[in-house]
Amino acid sequence: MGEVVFKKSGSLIERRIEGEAILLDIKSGVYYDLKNVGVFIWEILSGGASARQIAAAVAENFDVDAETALADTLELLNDLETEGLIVRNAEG
Amino acid sequence: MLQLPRHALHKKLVGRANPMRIQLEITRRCNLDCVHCIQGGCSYVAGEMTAADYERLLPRMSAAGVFSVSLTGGEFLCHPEIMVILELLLRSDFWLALQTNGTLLDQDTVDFLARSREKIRAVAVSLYGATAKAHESVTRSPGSFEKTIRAIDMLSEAGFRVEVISLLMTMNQEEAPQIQELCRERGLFHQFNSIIAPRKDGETSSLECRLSEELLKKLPRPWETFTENFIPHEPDDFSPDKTLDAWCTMARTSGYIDSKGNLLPCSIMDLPAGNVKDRPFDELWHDSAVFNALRKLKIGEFECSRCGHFPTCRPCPGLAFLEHGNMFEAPKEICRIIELFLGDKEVKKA
Repeated sequence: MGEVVFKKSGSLIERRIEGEAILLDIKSGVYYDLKNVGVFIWEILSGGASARQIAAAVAENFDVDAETALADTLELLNDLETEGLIVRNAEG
Repeated sequence: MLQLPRHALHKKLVGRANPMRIQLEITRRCNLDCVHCIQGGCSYVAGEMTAADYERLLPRMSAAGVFSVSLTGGEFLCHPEIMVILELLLRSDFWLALQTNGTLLDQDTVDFLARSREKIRAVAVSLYGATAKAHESVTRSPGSFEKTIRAIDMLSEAGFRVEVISLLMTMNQEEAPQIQELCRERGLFHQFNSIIAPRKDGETSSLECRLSEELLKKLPRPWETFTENFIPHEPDDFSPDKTLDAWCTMARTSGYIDSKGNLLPCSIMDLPAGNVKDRPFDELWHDSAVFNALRKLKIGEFECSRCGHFPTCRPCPGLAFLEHGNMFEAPKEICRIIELFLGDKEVKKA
């Protein structure tokens, strides 16, 4: 069983405005915004990544230990997935 | 919390004067001859934006933060390069809205649009009657009713959100219930208004089509005289010392690019920031002295702010600009209609 890889949904319009990522889900017409670490993670999701890969990048680039990075990453991924902003697919 | 409520988004973007919605007047050409047309005779205007111009413009708009683009005219489908322009728009990452009379839409074009349906928020179609006689008394174009109805049905069949927009005037006001019924039967969103504005060139013959008070009273409350639903707001947003953020979005989060490429605050305020063929969109948007002056205007500078109906009624300053040549005055035609529905205004005392 491969690791779950998360990717951005195809129904989004996104803009960078003064360091924030503002997303428009054109299926629902709802706007979202991401700041700081959220923007960093969103960038990584452009190419698709697993929670473990994202958390490692967060731990490397921000002043946070691996355990906290993984917990925060999972929380954000859960929010993004609940809102339909990312989709998952398994890769071997 | 990830979700950004509209109010919070508006505040965030308006504070930065970040363009969010841009209307593109693709062409002034039109195949109809509507009695009320604000453009004042829709024909070719020298210096019209080409597909190549749009190819340069669209990435700059995207980079500047624009999310939504509305296509208007004239009739946008009359542009000789419209299919190339549509290709460019649909390849770009914008949320689109189309405003059309529908008469030039054929099945091939609808199928073409439907391949990117997700990117097209809505298609607004102008309909002036539920019969050919009434509709064509406005369009002055025989056969236009049948073509418009056919377009509405093709668009609905293809899964688009179709918004039927009806302007009611002396010659078609009796059709209001039948238009509503036609839309109800088809499950279409419908809205009407009764505001006849003077033509942009100052010609005023169309004002004779305005409805009398007696006829207006027979109609439901028109949507366009009430802007409270357009921009989310809080009560404090309307203090005299506040800027127009919660009242009018012109030059703040919305703008208009006419068929020649002039960047304007809105569709009827002829105060160009400059031309997007001469200077990049984002530079014009942020550096324009005209736009920056508009962004500093205070609510207290406008006559409307001293009216008892404000801010329940906060009509478009552009209409006053068009009607009186002065955006600070109350647009008298709106006052006439509003007073019918809300009663005589009481001027607030200073």
